[in-house]
Amino acid sequence: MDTVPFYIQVFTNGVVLSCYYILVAVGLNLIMGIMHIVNFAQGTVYMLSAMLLYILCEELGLNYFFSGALAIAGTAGLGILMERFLFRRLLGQFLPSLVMSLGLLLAIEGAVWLRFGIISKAVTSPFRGLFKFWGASISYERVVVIVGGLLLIAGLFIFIRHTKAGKAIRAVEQDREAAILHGIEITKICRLVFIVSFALSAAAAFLVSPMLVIDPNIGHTPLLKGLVIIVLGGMGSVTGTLVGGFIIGFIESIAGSFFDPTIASIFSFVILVGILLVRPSGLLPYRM
Amino acid sequence: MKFSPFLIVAIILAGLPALIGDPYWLHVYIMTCLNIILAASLRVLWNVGLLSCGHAAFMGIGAYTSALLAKEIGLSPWLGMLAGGGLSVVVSLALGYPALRLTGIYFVLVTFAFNEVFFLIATRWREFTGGPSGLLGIPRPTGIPAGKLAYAYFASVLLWLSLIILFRFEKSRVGRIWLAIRDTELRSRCVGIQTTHYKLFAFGVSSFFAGLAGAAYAHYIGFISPTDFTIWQSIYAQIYMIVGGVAAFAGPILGSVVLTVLSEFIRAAGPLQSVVYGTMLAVVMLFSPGGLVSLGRYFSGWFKKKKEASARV
Repeated sequence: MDTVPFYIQVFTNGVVLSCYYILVAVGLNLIMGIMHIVNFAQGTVYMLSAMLLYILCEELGLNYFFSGALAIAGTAGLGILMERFLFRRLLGQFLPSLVMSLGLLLAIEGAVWLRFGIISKAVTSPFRGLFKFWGASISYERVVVIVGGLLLIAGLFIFIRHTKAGKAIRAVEQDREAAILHGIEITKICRLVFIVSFALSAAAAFLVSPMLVIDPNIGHTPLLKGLVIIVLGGMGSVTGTLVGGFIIGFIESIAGSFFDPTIASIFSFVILVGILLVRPSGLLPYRM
Repeated sequence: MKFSPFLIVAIILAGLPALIGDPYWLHVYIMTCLNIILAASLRVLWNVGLLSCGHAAFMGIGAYTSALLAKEIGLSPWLGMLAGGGLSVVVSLALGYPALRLTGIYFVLVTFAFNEVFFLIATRWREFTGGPSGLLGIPRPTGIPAGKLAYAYFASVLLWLSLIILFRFEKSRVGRIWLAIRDTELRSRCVGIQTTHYKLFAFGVSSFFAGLAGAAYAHYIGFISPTDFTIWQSIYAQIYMIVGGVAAFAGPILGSVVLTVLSEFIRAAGPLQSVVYGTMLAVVMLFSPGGLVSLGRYFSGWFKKKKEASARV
């Protein structure tokens, strides 16, 4: 067990899991920071775009990349609609909006289950094969998740920190009234945040689907991990989400290889409660 | 005689099981009673402005505790039910202490995660909980004869007692402080209310009744498994409360009755039920946040207005 290939395997697994969780968690956290809404349907959005990918790719026989682009665009469009017709009506009402997102989760998952059944599906992977790296075998699917995930995260970082729209998002997160006084349109920012967060979840589905199965319940895992990551990293903080995401990803990968995945999940819950006890505002010393 | 809604409820509860007779509908009746206890216990939390996404886990703690005590030690289920409720309270306090010092979002997240973890532990700890195949052969409480009718009466009594206690709590000084915390937390703190303590207290009360309902469920069905206490059960309990209406004490009762009976008609398809429930939840939140109860009020207000209008003419 204690050989170099094993550790390389654990490390790549950790990065893959981290990228997967971060892409969903960052969307969840942006919506939470800007609109003060816990969108429980975020995992469902991931599931929906994976399903969309499956329909386009397998049932209609389109190219994987083309259907991926369509799925991301479709999901972003869904984000606009959801924001405009559902979440905007309950803006600023914490419990009602939360309850409504729970209702969406139930309704959408039930509808997908009715249409496609509970049997797991899979898309044919366009990235077959694996290569040897110091004795560890790493599949191309994992490389795609790592490269694509890290690129997207870096892109999001540049967007949030260096573009005008990203700065506006951070301004609204830090001080809503002051941002309004400086002429930032809150409704536009909310729409933008929904587009970004839905598109990132769809991108996660595009990257991860070749190596995972697709069924109506796959949204729960990233949702749950995303919630833990947000508590770890602090609400509304993109950097915190990154840090929390890598911590949870690596804990799962390490605990999953030495014990088993269930213990890893319980372990991350214990960490969550411990963090709440000693550092309730998250791990990072200040907001970024 | 003074008008007392609880007297009317008592008469209905005493008469209904005998009137039903049919074993299938008696089963529905018992499940409705237990669902009402669960939904009414969630109302306590809603009154302090909190939402628990993990109440099925507390129900599960009560169920497993009582069932294991009865099976392994031979403890009387009557004491076991109280012990189940008691252990739920202990766990809820341990969980609430870190989570309730912060804003409501953290509480939702922690209870949500806790429900998942409870499910994992109940599934994995085979020697103790029986794993995914669950616990079989949980005895009935001593003194209650076999058959559904007797247990229906027991559920009636349990429901009636729970409702009276919860109603007293809501109308007491503590209940008013809960409402004050929900409406203006900062101001409550400024006048010297230890908001965290009162929230913890509410969480404890709420978990006790959830645990009690769980234990009563375990001793009724005689078989429990982790799938009885998933996050979906927690969400369903919320739906009973919210669709029924959070505006009045009768809300969770109305919601549980309407939805449990309704779900018996649409049970033919499992996913269809969640589509209907989910849509209902979203629609109620968007268009009538007060739920079914406020719908009644709305109509009575409408009639009153009409009357006034005609009187003016």
